[in-house]
Amino acid sequence: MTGLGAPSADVCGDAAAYLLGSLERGEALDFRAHLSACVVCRDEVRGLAEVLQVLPMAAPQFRAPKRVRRATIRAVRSERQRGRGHGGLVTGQPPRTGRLRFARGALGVSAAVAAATLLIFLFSSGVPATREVQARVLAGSGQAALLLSGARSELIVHGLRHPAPGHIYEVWLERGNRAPRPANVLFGVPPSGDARIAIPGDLQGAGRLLVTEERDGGSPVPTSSPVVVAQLT
Amino acid sequence: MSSGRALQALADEELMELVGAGQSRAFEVVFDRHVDAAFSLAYRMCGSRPRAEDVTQEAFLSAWRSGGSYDPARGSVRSWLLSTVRNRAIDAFRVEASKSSRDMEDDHLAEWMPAPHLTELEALRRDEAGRVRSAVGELPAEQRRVIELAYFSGFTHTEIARMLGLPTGTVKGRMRLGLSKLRVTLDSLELAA
Repeated sequence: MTGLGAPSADVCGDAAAYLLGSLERGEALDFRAHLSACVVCRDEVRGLAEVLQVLPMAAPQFRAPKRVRRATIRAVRSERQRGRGHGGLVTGQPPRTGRLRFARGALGVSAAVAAATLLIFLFSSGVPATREVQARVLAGSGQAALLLSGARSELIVHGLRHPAPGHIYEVWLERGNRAPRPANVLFGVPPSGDARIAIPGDLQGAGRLLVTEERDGGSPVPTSSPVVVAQLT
Repeated sequence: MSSGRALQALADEELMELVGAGQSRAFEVVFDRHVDAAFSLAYRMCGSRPRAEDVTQEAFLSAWRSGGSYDPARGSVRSWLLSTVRNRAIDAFRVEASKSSRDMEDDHLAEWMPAPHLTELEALRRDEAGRVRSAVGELPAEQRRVIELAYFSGFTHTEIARMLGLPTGTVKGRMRLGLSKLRVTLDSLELAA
């Protein structure tokens, strides 16, 4: 099974293997597609998922070493102070200020971004010029753009499809011919598919910004085709 | 910024809303509530204390960075965090470890760490964990084996079939039987989520 063709009846009854994460990737995609048509498998997944919620507790329980807390909290506070990380700047609400709003319907994302850029220019004298980079959304019908302003970068998506259950979007930066490197940004989208995601660090020298769908927690390397691609150079 | 005491009174889901808004203090409360379970799962999967510490830290950092993506409709915060730990541990296997090192038994692990000052909630969780462990232990060995290899060691069903010299259908059948039995047992203990 490849996961590319029509869902196969072969996956019917694979709920346990699916929930345990032991299906091959193509099979898991087939099974997910199969779920929309098979009420028996849907019920089985619903029932067995309860077991998976408590299965981690079958591990012997230990107290985590204090240094794990120290290191983690130090990193979080540091990222917080630098305004870094926390790629999940995603809410189901409109953007937090009036500086940038997506227009609906025919206006589209590019006009909204252009308007936002103008507002930023009008009300923020001294702020570095903002450059807009259009991005391609390769899955679904959403829209995306990247705003670059001095050292600040922001990916803006509109109508992006929701990641599959247990998955999240991860941002990558590609420099030259080297393999994409994690941008240390994970994000999801609300039902509207609209989100603004701060991209930490310097994008200088990056050729492309990519977004892929990865399992919760992200991945050290991309494991799926890009969903969003922004050409930076 | 909410006070520490006020944050302590919030449910995980409420805290995650604050984490999504970038409140690191709220994240610290969530961290303290679940770090032991996360580390325990990481240790069970990695079999190495330093690697378990790394996996736990990476998982919580990714949870902080993606806090706004937590969706209560998909399960509890605890399940979401532990799912992240599991994914990180499997990534660590793929990057660093040979698969043979994943295939370990409980008796290679140390005994429970001393915990003289358990809170009531921690004591309750340990009791629940003990009962879940007993339920898994009561499964027929061949069913327990495939579930542990899949869930705690991150092997696919085809890898497990190859290791055990079984048809893949048999492996999947044992997984299904095992989880179904666990469901019945845990329902009777009122432990299933």
